Amino acid sequence: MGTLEALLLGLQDATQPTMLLYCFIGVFLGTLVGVLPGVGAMAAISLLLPITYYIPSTAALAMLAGVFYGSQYGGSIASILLNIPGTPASAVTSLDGYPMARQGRAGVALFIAMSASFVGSILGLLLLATLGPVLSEIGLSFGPAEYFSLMLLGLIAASAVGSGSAAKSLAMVVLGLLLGMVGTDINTGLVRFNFGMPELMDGINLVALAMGLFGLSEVIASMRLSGGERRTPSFSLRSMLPEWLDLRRAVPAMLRGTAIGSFFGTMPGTASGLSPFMSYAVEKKLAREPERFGKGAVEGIAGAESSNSSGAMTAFVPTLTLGIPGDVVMALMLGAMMLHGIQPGPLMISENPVMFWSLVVSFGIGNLLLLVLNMPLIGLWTALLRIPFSMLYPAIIIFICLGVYSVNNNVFDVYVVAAIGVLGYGMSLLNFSPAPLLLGFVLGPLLEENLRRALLLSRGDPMTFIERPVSAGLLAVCLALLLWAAVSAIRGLCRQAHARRGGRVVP
Amino acid sequence: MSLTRRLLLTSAIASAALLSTGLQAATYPDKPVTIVVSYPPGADTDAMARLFADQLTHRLGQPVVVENRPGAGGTIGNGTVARATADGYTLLYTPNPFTTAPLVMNLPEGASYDVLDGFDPIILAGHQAVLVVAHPDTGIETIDDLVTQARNGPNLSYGTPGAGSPMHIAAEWLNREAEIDVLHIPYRGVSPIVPDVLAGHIDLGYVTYGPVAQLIESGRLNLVAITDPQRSPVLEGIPTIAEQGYEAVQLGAWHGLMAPKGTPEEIIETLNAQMNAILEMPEVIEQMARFGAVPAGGEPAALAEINADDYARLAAIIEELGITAD
Repeated sequence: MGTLEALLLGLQDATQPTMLLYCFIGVFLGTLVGVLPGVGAMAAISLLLPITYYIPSTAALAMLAGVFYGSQYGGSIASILLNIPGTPASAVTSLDGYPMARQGRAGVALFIAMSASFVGSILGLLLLATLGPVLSEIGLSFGPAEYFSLMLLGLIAASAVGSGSAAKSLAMVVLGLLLGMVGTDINTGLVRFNFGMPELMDGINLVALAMGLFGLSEVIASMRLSGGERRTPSFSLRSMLPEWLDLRRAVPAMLRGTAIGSFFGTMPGTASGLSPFMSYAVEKKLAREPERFGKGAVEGIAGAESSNSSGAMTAFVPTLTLGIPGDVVMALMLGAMMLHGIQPGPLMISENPVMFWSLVVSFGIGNLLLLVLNMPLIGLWTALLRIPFSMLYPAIIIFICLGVYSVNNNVFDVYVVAAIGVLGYGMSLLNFSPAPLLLGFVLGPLLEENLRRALLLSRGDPMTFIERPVSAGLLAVCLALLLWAAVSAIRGLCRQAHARRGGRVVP
Repeated sequence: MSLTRRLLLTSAIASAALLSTGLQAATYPDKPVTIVVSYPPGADTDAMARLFADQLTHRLGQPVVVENRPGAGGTIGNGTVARATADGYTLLYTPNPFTTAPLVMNLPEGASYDVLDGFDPIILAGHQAVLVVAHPDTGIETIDDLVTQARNGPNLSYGTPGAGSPMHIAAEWLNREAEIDVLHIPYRGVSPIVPDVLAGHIDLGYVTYGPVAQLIESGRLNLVAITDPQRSPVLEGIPTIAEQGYEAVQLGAWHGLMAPKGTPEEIIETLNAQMNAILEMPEVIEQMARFGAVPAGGEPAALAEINADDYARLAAIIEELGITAD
């Protein structure tokens, strides 16, 4: 069967009423679980899994995938409006989205986020459809040494994510790395910093950490501030439409974000949450006035959301072309495929071409549905802000607890949220930004794992990082970034000194 | 209230209480049954538990749901079930790290469970093959090739789903029996091993069948051997390590359904009978084959036996090899 024929059959299959219905159910539920803090795609998919026994396999997969990418759209809503991101990815969106909401521009922020998600998804999907098998081979060429250098680059970029002083950001990255150390060391099996608690043997739960740092600490901060005073943003249609300047800033950021997200999506060994951070760092470096970031820069939202969504699509590249899941959600998707009698692997596309293409087409339809579904609802979502604090915040806390519990069915994680929430509140009082901490936490274990694996394989020879060209290239970029930061810092000092001496300011 | 009525009432309550224990089994199940899986959703164990839960739902007339309680190498979920009420409404579906995890891990007091006597076995659901795969460029097609290369050629490395996993034990066991030194590279689970063997970053992988089935079929990985005591009917013609000259190395993966200690015997019998029937269904056998698993079935004692046998054999070898961990 030719590709074109398979594509047409796939198109025919994907536009059948049943397929459309399950695709709609998937993206609708996905948006819903994305909006609810803490309840992730993972929990929703594993709940839906038993139901999918009774529906055709392609429809089942289209629905489960819809939950996954739909939750990426929904995740931006809670993070922009309420500053309670459910995943590390949407934590980046909240950095600028929440300040915009506080300025009464929630509608614009949501508009930008959703268009960025759509652009990222569609371009990512095109990559999956056209270059899938090629991209998966590139992904394979990354071994432990390359991953280590890539993670290091991510970590250096992290210092750009925090707002305010670089020293404070670095301190948070280090704290994140330390928290990431908790749990069993994969090489020796020794348990580190668990204080005798078996629940900590696998480390601190990522969702609990994110919910505590962002969600709960935000609730505490709002409780302290609220004396009932709150501005009600206006909801005219005009206030939802971005200005020309917003679009001019956002569109290039969306394209760059898509490129970054697509790259990270195809790598089976990276944390899926890394690309929004990288994209944010790139936007901040490229911007003429980097000081706007963290105060409502649309580029930040556009970059983060497009990279996140394109990554969600290209994450299907290793999954569908090699049968290798990139993260836990993809592992779950593979499990679903096996239950439906589809053996994952490189033969999947040639053995089930119609399934592959009808999935691709249904992803496209699903993203279109999400756009059509959510754009008119922006007004409704922003109306969430009109709910009085006294009702909204208790509800949020309940959802956080439910969501965190649903990850591992473990009450211990709920206690972790409480403890981290207090820490997060303390940090916000002292103006420490939680985003670099989260990135350090996500990257730390991966960085260590790949460093040690690379050194094990090279029998302890650190030259392996330089002898391998891709790794060497990435390390060179790291070095360049550090030099750049050092040079601009020294220049800044010189300029200050000149200014003090009354000399002419060197441009 | 008259004395007689009061007497009648008390005796009614008392007899109801007495009867309820007997009735419990007769009406079992009259509410949803939970099967705990101590690993995250999506993994082999979870998928097979869901397969059985779905079939049991049809047969028992009550929802049978899978609840994932991952953590600490499976011991958190296992420990939870060990301490659950023994009424047949909380069960455990577990693979063989049930036996080995408490041996290799340094668990805090109260977190572990009694491997030999902490549970009532229901049924040995099946055996799942553990595969040794190699990157084709290594030229390794048999255990002999592996041993020869390890002795003469450059250093070889193997990936496992973690330090202390049954795969790690099997590989170190082979290292000792063959007097070779293949380097252990631990991963977090089976799926991250696959891309690294596929790209040749590591030479060998100890994995389950599902994730590599197509890669073997398409010639991108060599299937060298299985670690099981016997050949597997779903992997025809694939020899075991034991029959390729290293008789001692026998470590097969098994899956079992268990109940907390003290679960009424009638309930165990009901579940055992239903599971035996399920394990004979052609579609179930076909589903299991995709994971490289074959149904076992039989009396509950078969599960107790394989568990006790593994515990005795492996405790000694784990001690000798000095394996610790997660």
